[in-house]
Amino acid sequence: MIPKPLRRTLKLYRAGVTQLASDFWRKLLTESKPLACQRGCSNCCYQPLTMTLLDGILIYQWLADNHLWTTSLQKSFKETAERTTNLALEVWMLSMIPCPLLDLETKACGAYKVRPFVCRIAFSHNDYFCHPHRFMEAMAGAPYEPRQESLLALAAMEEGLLKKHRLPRVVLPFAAAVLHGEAICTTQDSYSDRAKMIWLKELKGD
Amino acid sequence: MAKCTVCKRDRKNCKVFPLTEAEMDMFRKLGVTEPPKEMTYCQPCWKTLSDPVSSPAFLKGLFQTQLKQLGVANAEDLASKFHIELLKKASKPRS
Repeated sequence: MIPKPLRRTLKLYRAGVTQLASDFWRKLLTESKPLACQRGCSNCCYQPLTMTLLDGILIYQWLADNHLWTTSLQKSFKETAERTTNLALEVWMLSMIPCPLLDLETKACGAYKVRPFVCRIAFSHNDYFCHPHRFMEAMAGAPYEPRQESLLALAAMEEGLLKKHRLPRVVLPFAAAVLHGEAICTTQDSYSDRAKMIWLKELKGD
Repeated sequence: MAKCTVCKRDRKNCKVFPLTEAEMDMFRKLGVTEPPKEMTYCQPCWKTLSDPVSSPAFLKGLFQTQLKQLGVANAEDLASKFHIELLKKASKPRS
């Protein structure tokens, strides 16, 4: 269960994410360039994905509430977290490590409804460049400005929300963030002690 | 602290593998006059390189990227063939 002191913060965070994502898509869809993204393409699910603990808590809780946090999914998360923690992003990109929520047969996301913000604003005008082994070629171009703006706006909003709890914003590999989300939601200790311990441990880079 | 051969980061607790004379000769054949005496891998990179699926994928990606940078027209075909060979090797039981 989401610790009581964090519930309101997470509610505000979720509302903020929805707003930022819809603003982003409104802007993007006014451009005439067609999108290449379609159901069944999972190239971006093999790209490195980092997110913050707030996203981790939300995704864990959604999986647990929907009885999807199974032993095999937990195992997959643990393996992915072990492989991606402290891994250099370029090595991660070339290693094609799939997101643990990706169904390798249907190529569908196992938590699409609560996917992290980075996934919500992922898009492509040319799917050739989405493959992790071709991504370096795409990186030669300038980053899409509204995407950068949205990411910065999210970071500012999150920092503001966490300030009330005297917690810093910590970005982690996706699988590690969800596992920490689980630890924060299932611990018997008082929420603030446990959360602070996890947050500070990550900041120190233990 | 040591510099990882793969990610070039300075990391603690690296795995260090001394190269054999034959391996150093291979470097010399490639034009490296002073070949390294050992290969150093940090823990995260070693986990990737010792995995039978992600290691071939990583090497294929690296090979493909470098071929493309060199302007090789059929870089993707060559990299795919290389990947198939690596997967075969990775699936062979170790004796």
